Amino acid sequence: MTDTRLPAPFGRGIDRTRTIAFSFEGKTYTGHPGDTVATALAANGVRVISRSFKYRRPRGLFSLGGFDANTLVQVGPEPNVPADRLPLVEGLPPISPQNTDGPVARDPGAVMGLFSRFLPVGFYYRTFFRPLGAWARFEKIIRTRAGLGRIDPKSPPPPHVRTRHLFCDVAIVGGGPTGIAAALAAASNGADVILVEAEPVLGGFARAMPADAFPTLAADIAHLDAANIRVLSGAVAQGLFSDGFLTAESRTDLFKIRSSTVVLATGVAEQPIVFRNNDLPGVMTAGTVRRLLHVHGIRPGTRAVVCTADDSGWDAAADLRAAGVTVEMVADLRAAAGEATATARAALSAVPFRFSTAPYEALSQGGGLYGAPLSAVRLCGFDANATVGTVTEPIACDLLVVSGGSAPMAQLAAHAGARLTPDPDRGFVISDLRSQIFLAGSVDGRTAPDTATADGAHVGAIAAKSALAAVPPTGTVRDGAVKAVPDRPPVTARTAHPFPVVRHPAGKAFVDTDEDLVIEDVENAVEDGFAHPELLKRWSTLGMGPGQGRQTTLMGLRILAAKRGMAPAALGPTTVRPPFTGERFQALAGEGFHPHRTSPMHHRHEALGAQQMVAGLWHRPAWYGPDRDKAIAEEVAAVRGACGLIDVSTLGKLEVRGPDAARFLDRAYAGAHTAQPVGRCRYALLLDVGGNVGDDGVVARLADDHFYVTGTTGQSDATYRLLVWLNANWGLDVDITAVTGAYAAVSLAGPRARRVLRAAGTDLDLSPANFPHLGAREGTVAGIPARLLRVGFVGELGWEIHVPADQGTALWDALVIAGRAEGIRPAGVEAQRILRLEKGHVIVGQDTDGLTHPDEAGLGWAVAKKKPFYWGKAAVDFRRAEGLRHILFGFRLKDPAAAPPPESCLVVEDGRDVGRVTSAATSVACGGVVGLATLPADWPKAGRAFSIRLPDGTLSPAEMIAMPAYDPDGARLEPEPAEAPEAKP
Amino acid sequence: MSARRSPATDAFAAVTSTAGGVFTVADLSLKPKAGVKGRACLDWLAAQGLSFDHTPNRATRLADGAIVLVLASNEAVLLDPTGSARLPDTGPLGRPLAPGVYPVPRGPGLYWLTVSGPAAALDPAFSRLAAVDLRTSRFTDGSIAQTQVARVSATVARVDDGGAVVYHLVGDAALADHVAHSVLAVLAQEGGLARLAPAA
Amino acid sequence: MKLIPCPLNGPRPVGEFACLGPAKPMPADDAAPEAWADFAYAEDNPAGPILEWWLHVPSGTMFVAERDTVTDTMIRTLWPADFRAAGGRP
Repeated sequence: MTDTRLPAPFGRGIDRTRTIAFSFEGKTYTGHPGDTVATALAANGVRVISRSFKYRRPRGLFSLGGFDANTLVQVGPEPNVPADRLPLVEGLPPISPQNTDGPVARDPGAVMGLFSRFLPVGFYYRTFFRPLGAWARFEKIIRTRAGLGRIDPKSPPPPHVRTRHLFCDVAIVGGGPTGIAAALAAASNGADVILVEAEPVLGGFARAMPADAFPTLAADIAHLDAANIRVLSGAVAQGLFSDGFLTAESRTDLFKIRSSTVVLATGVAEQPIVFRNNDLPGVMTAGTVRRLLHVHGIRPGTRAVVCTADDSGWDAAADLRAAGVTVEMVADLRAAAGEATATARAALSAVPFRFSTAPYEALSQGGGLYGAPLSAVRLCGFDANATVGTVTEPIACDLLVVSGGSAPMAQLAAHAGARLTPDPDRGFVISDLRSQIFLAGSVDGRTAPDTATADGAHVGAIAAKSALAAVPPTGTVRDGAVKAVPDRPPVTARTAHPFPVVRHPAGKAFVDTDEDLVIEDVENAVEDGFAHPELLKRWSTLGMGPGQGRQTTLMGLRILAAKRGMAPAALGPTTVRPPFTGERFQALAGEGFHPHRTSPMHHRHEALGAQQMVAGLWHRPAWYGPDRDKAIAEEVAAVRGACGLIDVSTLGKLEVRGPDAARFLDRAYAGAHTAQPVGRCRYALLLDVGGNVGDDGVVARLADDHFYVTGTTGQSDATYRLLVWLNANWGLDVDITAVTGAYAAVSLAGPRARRVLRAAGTDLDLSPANFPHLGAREGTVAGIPARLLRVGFVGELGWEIHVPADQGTALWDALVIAGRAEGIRPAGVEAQRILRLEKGHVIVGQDTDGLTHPDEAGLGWAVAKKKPFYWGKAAVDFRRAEGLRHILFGFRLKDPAAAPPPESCLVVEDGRDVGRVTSAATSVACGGVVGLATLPADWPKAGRAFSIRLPDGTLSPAEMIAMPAYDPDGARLEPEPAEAPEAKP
Repeated sequence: MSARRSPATDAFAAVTSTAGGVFTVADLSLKPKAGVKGRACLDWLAAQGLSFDHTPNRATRLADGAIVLVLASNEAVLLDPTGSARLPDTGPLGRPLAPGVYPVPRGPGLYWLTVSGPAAALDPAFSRLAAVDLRTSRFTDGSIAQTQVARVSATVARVDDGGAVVYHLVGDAALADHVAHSVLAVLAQEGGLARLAPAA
Repeated sequence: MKLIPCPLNGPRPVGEFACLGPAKPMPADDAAPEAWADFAYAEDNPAGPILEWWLHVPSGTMFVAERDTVTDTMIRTLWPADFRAAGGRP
């Protein structure tokens, strides 16, 4: 097992009474509840966890906060999981290291390190250019080597992440002492509070300190629940957006939080020191060491050297000593110590220390090509100009604790537009915060641990008052009766080191361990011309790895500035955008709500074995039955020979009513509707302002002030919006109401349609004289109140019957029963498309596109000639005067047995494309393949031969034909013209 | 009168209640409903004898059990959960009722679901369904939210019944299958379905 | 997600809305095609306040909103009747 575990008072965060087993690289290990996989590995003495991206160097624990790629592992089918963020729980799938060709401690891929000279920054971009053909050869190798984890496309999809919309007055990010204090203060001032914490346990940095540093922590955490504060733990705040919108992602939920105010108590990120071999396993930050000790009870090594540029290294050294680790040396990069350091030093009386000293290089031994963990370190003199002085002999150690100061975790503030300015003493200074966003604690410069709670209480109170008053605070208490706001602790003077970079002639001093970038890479990028931070970032990929710049952006900026002889503040950091860490697509994909619209007769179609198609949000039956070609052919034959029943409930439908209803339709639609008689249908053509065909359908006049308007399925929402918007501009006395879902509708079409309708029972006179083609009537069918529109989209005798949606099934059933004797058959969308094509009827959006003039689509007849105005008129007239270039024509293929060309096949002439096919289908009635195509406007109206280029490149011969191809005289629309009007009962 | 079919029928048929569930969901889509639109429509309803709060986005329960949802100063929906209340007759043909008063076919055009259960379970359940604050502590009796539920337009109203918290969900009948499926699935996950009352 | 102040429903996430483009006076019925083309396709795109048509989709509420394109803040909303009464230039 392990002799790295320490007894109490260390390890306050683990449950020693239980152990959990897990597998890593095929071996079984154990840990305790409260461990992460990374700490459990450390407890078992596993020092090498992964191999680096480019050079395949061995990597281990460094930051323990999800700030680097070192701890990314493959967990079963899931790649790139940060092991330092993965709680150790029962039943984890086997875990394996990534990016290695062999055992992670002995990866043959480490040979890449020998070629580092040939892999400078941006090396693969260079292979795009020289030598010629290089990229073609390198691409395959680089693609296989790039990336870390592996995705298994066959693994089952993970469970849905649940989206939750939460609302509060004050949202606090960060559940350390500052955030907890802010939450309690805000709640005690009457605010509704949500507290978001990335770790599964609250406490933040207080957990990584001795228990007596924050004696009230446990009690404060208990108070959160009593104060009705909602705590979201294990949830990473991913982005802060406009108007107090905050997202937070846990394993199981994506929280979308809307808050009046937001308090960011996000703390600081420890900064590293850049020196040769600073990436060896065994080099880790001061905070990591303290967490391992206090939270997990793990002794991170046996002999330690501490190199620090702030007090945290001294505190870590004291903790190590208390844990029985030998501290060989404390090297402080600063010239002199501060007060806190004096206190810490007092606890380390037996430990040698030096100021103005930095790490020069970390050393390992025995690893050969594969590399090995840390075994010794050499130090050097280091002055305010970062000049390297005398170098010491190697000091043997297996733990090198580093701290280059800290930088505020300002990412969320930056998402919301705050300005980050590099600062030599503070890392970054944050300014220009939007109103209603507040910073508290170390992120705002209050890094002394004893100021954490006080600062949280101050800012929490301010935020609550601001939220409840809904005006920005002035910092003073407005109402004397309200609780007084405690004073704000002062900013800590110096928390950062301006340039913790130690140059070494042999290089390998890493600025970004995720991307294997060294000091020379940054400087070479500048010499290549990428001297702006945004360009440097993209050319070198500095800060683009899993660490997202939290420990690298500032360092890169400092080196860039030094190279250019400028101050970092003059260059500014790169733009920070959400998400804060890698956000799973699974979380963004959401609930799996898939909106769909269904016809009231949907269940009948399912029962009949309909093959459904999805059009927009609608499910529509494409054909009925398992055999597509057979079903469609039979459905077409049924409509032409007997009677078809087509569900057209998906059509857009509108009631247009009121004193100005006719006037409104005349202005909005291209046709003439003011003089349209009651009881008549007219073709409805709707254009856009550019004179392009937008939608079509039927206008039926039911009364002087009442029109029923239909439109295509796909345009119903857009048409409704356009009409409402037009009247918002015109202000006519008209009501426009969308009733698409309120009416079920069927098309009953075929020579026997009248007989079927009579058999179903209707109170309407269906004789040709009293219900002619294009008539509109209100009555009943099978006892159901109905609107009947006698229209002929498929070119046969027929009616569209519209009934209230909840009686659609009753209508369908009545017609099916009544029509059985007449050979009625349900027909789907595919059959309908063939039937209308045989008549040359256009489908808007299929035979027209966003730039089709009505004349181009053969719809010029529908545009009223005498109206002074309709929507799109100016453009229609203008384009007519300019002359049209393309017109939609009918065609047939020369070979009647050929397959129909797919839509959008090009029409080619002399090697140029002169048009395209918009619709095509095999037509039994027309004896071959017919279709519509856009062709040059100057071609004759029929007879001319042309070629269609099929997807495989071959040419299909065709010739132009006049449309309609079927029943050109329209006789089929009234098979019984001589029928007498029905006798009145 | 031919048989009518609720558009939420299939969604209800696809789920069963479970022991230990906390929510009751009813499909009232076939109960009487009506709608009016137009600049004078609220005054017209008042002239029909209805006494209700004319404020937009407020719901009133009438003495006879009917519910008036005022969606805007020029639009209202009437719901009758009892089946025997006296809803105004808006005529069968959709003709304008008076200047500035137009009927809307809400009977067939809307689905209507009710959800009831303990407040502690309703809050997290609705947090999954809509991006407005529907917590029982904030979305009080008589509130209306015209918003999106399960990614589509819907209207949520709270009209308590004898002290029990009841949420009403109405929307376009064409989306009934989607909304009902989604709501039932979420409720099953967030506490379980104790009772299902499909449309009679 | 940005909040848009619907004049009927109060502040709501922008996902509940459709922005229908700049709000400006329509040309006269008989205006020259150049005026219509300008109306349809040419926008000043200023840095500062602009007027836009917005539709709150769930409630069908159509309104005009003034938005500052530099600060991305909503300044005021108008009902269509008020927009028309000001001749499209409120």
